[in-house]
Amino acid sequence: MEHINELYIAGYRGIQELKLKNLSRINLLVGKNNAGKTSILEAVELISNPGDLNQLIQTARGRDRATLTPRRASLLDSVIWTFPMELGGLPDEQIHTDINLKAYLNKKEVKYNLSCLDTTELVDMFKKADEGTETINDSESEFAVVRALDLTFDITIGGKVYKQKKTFLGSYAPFRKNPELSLLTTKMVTPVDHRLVPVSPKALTNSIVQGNKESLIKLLQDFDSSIEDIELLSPDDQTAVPYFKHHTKGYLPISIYGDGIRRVLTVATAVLQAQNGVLLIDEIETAIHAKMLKKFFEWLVDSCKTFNVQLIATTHSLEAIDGILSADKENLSDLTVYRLEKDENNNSTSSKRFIGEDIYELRFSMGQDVR
Amino acid sequence: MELSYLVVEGPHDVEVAGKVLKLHGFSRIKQIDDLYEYWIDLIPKNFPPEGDLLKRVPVPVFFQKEGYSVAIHSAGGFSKISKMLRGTLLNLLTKNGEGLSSVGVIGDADSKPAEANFSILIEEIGDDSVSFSSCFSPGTVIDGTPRLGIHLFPDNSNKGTLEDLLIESASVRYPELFSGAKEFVSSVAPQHRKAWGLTDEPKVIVGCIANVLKPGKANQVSIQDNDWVSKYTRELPPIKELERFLKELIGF
Repeated sequence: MEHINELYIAGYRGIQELKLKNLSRINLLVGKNNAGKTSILEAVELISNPGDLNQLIQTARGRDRATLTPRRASLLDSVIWTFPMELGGLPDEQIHTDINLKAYLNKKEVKYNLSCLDTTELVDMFKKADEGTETINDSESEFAVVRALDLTFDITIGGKVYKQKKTFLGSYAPFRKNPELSLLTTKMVTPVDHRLVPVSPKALTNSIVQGNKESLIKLLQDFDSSIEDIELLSPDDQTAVPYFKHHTKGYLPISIYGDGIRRVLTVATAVLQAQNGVLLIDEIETAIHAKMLKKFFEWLVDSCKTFNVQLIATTHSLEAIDGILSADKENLSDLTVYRLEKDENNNSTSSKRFIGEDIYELRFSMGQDVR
Repeated sequence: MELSYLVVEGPHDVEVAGKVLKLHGFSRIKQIDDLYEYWIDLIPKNFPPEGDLLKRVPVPVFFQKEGYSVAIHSAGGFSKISKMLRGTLLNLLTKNGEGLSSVGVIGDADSKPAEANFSILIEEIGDDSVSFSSCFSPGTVIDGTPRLGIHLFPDNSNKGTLEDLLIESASVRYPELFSGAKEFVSSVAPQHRKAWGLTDEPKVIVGCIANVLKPGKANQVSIQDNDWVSKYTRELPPIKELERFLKELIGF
């Protein structure tokens, strides 16, 4: 069953009036740079966790993950730039309009409207200092006017309306989702996560407990035949760290392995974290050699089936498209490809939907480029 | 730029249509750098097609002149025309912000009057991408964006094939070769005719003449290089009818 069947983006970042209908179990988004592929993944994250401010922050920050802290935009700016922007009446005036999304999640209609007002707030600086958020200036005043975003969440779930107002001061907060506001489990994997985000010990444990370890080892051995096993070890008696058991060299931390293996492990644990929900992978082909893509996708498609995961992924790669097509030829109806096309004249984005059988014909019989 | 996409039954159809275009100043594109960019996604990126090492790569043949670019795609058989057309239109239309000016199909009428295969094509192609059902008879070109039309050899009316057009052409341009080939073919013993279909005898005659003109080469090479379709034969009714169709469809 498809957890998310339809997505409508009336306004999010640079996307306006885009509809993706009849999503299937495996979905690929293709299109030129800046067509909005990553934005669609982010929109799914937001609408799956409506009203969750931490989700909004996490989504807004996702693209900046690899940027060094001093060079990153502030959290406030990251959040405000998720809102669509249009020019105002005054020269250089930029107005951020509402984020407006709609989707069918597990057969329920969900509407998400978020407006924001870039404003200021009077804040007790000592209290803020305790939260470790802002540097304290040397002023003797206890209070200061700081920039803030007034956010109004207007959410409808299956006809029931929820409205919430929140003020966001740009404070760093641990990025943990509020489970009460989570309609659908989502897990995002960005192109750089295998380098920046440690493999979740919990997800790896679940993978082992749920019997997925054997197939994972088998896949990893296609990348490096010297890998015999994967274990969680705790050399410092505090943290659980994943190690590979090498055929001759004993236990080696996975951090010393190449990007390909780390990427596989990142995706493998992400599948578990997305169990019964939606796995969102940006640039699915990243770090995987072209010749390994078919095996990787065979394993991924099978794992998604096993753990009831709906996959939505972006790609620039024809080899990735071919790999996914070859991974499950018997079930091409489970695959849909959406090609995003941006009209530079009026800034609108449209999508062209291809069912699995048509893409298979275009790629394998006719050899055409569908990106 | 006027962009035209034609799906034809086979490689001989490509060459015959190409010769008509050449009569009107079109040149065959040989280098990908000279190809109008709109068509780039039709150039196959992988081999072999369907994993079959013996299959030909289904790349269209392109003809261009100032203001016009034509892609002619051989489907590899009448029954494959609709699949190729629908697949390519699904991929091409609305892409790159540019649209096709015309879409056409060229095939054979075969053993029944043209109307029969015309109806089959209309039904198989369907109206998913463009409204081929608005075409009301073989040979007519429907105005619109894109223009649409279906041409069925020999002349959009009678039963027959492309080879009937080539036979008529050979009788005018290569009369001694034609009469010699005809005499030879008619003398072929029954045991060698067993594998021939209803419309195959003209194909055999054409093959004999083509091999004299281009020893050891495929028929389409002779069609491309020799005078089957040329200033000497363009006034023959079936060639004139093809020329009229292409002019109206492509708009040159």
